[in-house]
Amino acid sequence: MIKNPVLMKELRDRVRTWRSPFLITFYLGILVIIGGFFLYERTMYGYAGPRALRMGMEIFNLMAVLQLLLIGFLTPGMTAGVISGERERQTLPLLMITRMSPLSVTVGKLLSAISYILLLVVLSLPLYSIVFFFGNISMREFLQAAGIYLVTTLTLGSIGIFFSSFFRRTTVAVVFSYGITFFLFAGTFFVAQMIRQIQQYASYAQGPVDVPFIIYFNPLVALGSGLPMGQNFLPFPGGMFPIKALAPWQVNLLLDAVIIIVAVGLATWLIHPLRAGTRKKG
Amino acid sequence: MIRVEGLKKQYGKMEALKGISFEINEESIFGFVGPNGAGKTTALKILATLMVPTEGRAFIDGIDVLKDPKKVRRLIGYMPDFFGVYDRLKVTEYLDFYGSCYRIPAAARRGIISDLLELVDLSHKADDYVDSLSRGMKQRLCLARCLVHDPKVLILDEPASGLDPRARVEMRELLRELKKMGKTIIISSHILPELAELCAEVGIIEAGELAAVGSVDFITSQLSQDKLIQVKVQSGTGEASRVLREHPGVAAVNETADGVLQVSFSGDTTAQQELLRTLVLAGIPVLSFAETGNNLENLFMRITKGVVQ
Repeated sequence: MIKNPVLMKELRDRVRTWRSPFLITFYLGILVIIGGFFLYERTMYGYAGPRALRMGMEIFNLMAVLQLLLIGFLTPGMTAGVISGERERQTLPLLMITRMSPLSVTVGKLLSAISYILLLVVLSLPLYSIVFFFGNISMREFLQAAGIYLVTTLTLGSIGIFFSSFFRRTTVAVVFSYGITFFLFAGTFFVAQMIRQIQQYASYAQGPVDVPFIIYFNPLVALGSGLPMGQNFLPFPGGMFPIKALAPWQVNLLLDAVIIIVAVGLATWLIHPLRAGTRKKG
Repeated sequence: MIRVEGLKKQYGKMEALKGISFEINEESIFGFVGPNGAGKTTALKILATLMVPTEGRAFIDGIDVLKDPKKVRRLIGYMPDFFGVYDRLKVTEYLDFYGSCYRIPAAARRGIISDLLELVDLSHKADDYVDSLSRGMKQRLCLARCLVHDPKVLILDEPASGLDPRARVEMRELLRELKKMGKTIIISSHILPELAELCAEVGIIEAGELAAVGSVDFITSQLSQDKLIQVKVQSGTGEASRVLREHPGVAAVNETADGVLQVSFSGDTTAQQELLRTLVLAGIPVLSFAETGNNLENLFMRITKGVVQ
């Protein structure tokens, strides 16, 4: 896969523009400013005793959520133009007549976006030294958060690539990709809230109702369910998730896998040059 | 090498191709000529495995382009009627990228790229960004891209469009060189004379139909019953025109702005002498009387009726 020519070209392409250092600075800058402010605010009056025990977890939670929001902010912009851009530059047919399969083109494009996001996550690692300074965070929790970043990037990236192959114009693809991302991060929460209120009203006598299924699509919920003290900032605290056998982040992982397969599959089908056959039979 | 059988392509109600058929021999250059919108690009796209025809079949080296497009793609180099370049890549990187897309090993690519750049005379631009190249250079680079996997067949859609006269000549020389290297080339243009001296055979397409196929000489002899004679007179063009029109061999007379008469005439050389004598005997002061030949431009205008604008 590392020999995928599209991936290699995209990686080179991404680091050649002024956007690359700007994005890295922006990404790390946001983490440092907000993380720093939080740290300052919490340590203003000292951090001895039980407060110190919670400090590591609190900073970790903040950084994890912040990082996921930044991924949600950056990934659609990075992927929504990759196929439509090829169409606009008229280079897509030239790629299609080589020995590259449509699938290797879409996968190469997706992996290049993932690689870039991974680069940003790796670059932010030194900031986590503050978390480990306070302690109380296990490597498992840290890796779990990293896993959710990766899957969320893949999901949002696949959606971006799907819209990029569906729409001819990059601007339209960007708008739709951000629209869906916003829906996953915020829309699912509002829809779940509405459903829950209606259900609660309808089954008032039967007691509390489960959290609506749609909330499993929310990347923040997936992240929260795997974080230390994450239950505190999950929506609807105290509400039961409908699938008891799996943790919310595990269900989210499975749903994301389906989204990735469907979105990449459709994108691959859409760029296939001989797909729209209007051939008469016989 | 290339065989096209009853190719049809329909976009909604519009018929872009109405069942064209032709064959191209190995190691020859075939010119595909027609006005803009006649269906040239559609036909070439089908051959390049980038489009499905509504009906008909096409074969390259005996392989059906629809049944086995992957095999066909290894045999063809396709140059569309636009550049298709990545601006942020250098010339060598651009060729290297396509080389890797054709699964050419990295070690072999270096040598191939160097040879190709020499062939298209871009060795001195190897480390320049593609964006900084002139139009002619970009066009030559695109041609080099088509050749990166050493295809047997080249499908070139208007490779000389937008080039200045010098770049056109260079492109023509390059194509001759490629023919010598054993490539079969199908090349489209909307300018017939551009292809006439290059191509062994031409196909003239208009409104999705092939109006004529064959060697340039064959098309000239088959389709041009009339000769075009230019008559220049010192004075009295009106009288000269009247005398000419009365002659049974004259189909039409066209008076140009500079007083030259263009006569559409059918008949052999004896009949031509007879026509000149008629003019002289009628007292017309003839300065010159010459057959201009049915140049390709005239022929093209005559065959294509201007259906497509």
